[in-house]
Amino acid sequence: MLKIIFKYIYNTEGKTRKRAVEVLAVIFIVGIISFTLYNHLGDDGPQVSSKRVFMMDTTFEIVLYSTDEGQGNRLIDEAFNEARNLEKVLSRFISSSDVDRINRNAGIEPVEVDPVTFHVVEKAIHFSEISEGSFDVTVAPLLELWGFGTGEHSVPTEEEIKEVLPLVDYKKIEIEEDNLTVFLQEEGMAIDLGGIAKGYIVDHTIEYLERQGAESAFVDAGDIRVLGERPDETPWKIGVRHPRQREDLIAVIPVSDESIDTSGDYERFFIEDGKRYHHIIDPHTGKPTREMLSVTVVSPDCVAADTLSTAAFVLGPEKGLELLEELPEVEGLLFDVNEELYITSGLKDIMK
Amino acid sequence: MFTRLDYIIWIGIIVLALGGVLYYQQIDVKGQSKIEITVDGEVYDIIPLTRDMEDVSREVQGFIGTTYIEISGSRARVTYSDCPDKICVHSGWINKPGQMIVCLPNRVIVQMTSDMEQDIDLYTN
Repeated sequence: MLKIIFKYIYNTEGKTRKRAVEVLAVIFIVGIISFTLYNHLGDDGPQVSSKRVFMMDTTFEIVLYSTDEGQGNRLIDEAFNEARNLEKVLSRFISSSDVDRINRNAGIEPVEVDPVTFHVVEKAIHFSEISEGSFDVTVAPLLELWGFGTGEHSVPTEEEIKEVLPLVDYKKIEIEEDNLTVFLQEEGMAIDLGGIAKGYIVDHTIEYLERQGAESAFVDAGDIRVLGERPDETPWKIGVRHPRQREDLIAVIPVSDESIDTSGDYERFFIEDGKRYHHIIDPHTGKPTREMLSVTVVSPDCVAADTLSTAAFVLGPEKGLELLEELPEVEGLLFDVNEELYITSGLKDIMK
Repeated sequence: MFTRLDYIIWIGIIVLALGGVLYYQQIDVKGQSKIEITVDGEVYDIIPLTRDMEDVSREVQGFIGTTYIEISGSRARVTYSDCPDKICVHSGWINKPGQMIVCLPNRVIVQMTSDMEQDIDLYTN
């Protein structure tokens, strides 16, 4: 191509004005070529920064797209600091934590807590109410009875379950906003904010990144929340794994500025006498439910996705679907033991 | 001296340049691809194509004999086949998702696919 250009410049013996036109044209062409090269060599598009750490008994990953990788990395480090500070307040397994003090003083006296803890407890009660106790933040004594958490799994007797059931009731939590106190009415009651706290931390981390000017990012700690869209300005694509054939997908869900979380019977379970017992226990019966394999919920924040996926799992396919359809900005996908898919109307439209 | 022919040539150059830009962008979106080999409808092998991969060769036992497949530089071809007509060998290289080489007598298909899973950012568990 250059040959042609040169040929024309040198073969033109006419007026300089026409020569000038040609020179301009050459500059124009060279411009287009350099623009193309610049686009593909100089600028690789948005740069990705990412980091994965172990936190909250899981891996916690932040991926951020920005124009400057170094700045992106710094922002991620700051976000992790924020997340760790929150974890200190919330973790059930740190003995000085608020949750531990609340549980030790069950049936004894109200405990004054950090405003953050108070807020999370409030949220937990809120979603327990919405789901009419299908998600219940006070389910901890039942989990303990079945050995989830301690690691010594065993199927309890009917009597044992009956004894513990009255301790599981979110209505027996008293909170006072003025003094920031939380009180469990009966001795032996306990709250577990483990799952909900993880979601809360993911929410907080994304909100922090957004305040710092990030536009395209996600946090994955099992609970997933995405900020904005992918750098190519399409929604993030989330693959929902098959609960049994883990390398297969049952769906691909596009999300932007949303959270997604799945509750499944495969996460924690044990087998006794050939029967499988998973960790999602119906707070009303005290036993693991038998209708569902997994429930995936899409909602504006992780805490909602986390609690509502548990609630819908406990409720079963029909009632679970009903609950998710009722709530604004909430969508979901339920997969029952017959491997049948139930999808909320809003999600049906956007799924492939 | 600046004749109609000159203008046509210049316009031609501009079109070529713009075409180049668009072509480049096309390649960019394509993403990662795989070579899928099937024999009589059964998947025999799937080879993901990566930028700096080493050359791969496969000997596939088909319906009437052996088909030799070579994968090199993100493209694939059939180098030899026991079939009578050798259409598969004459097909040459394939290098775009959706393209395939078919050897009907030996019931061997070599196809380049761009897996949907490649487009997934995250998995929910």
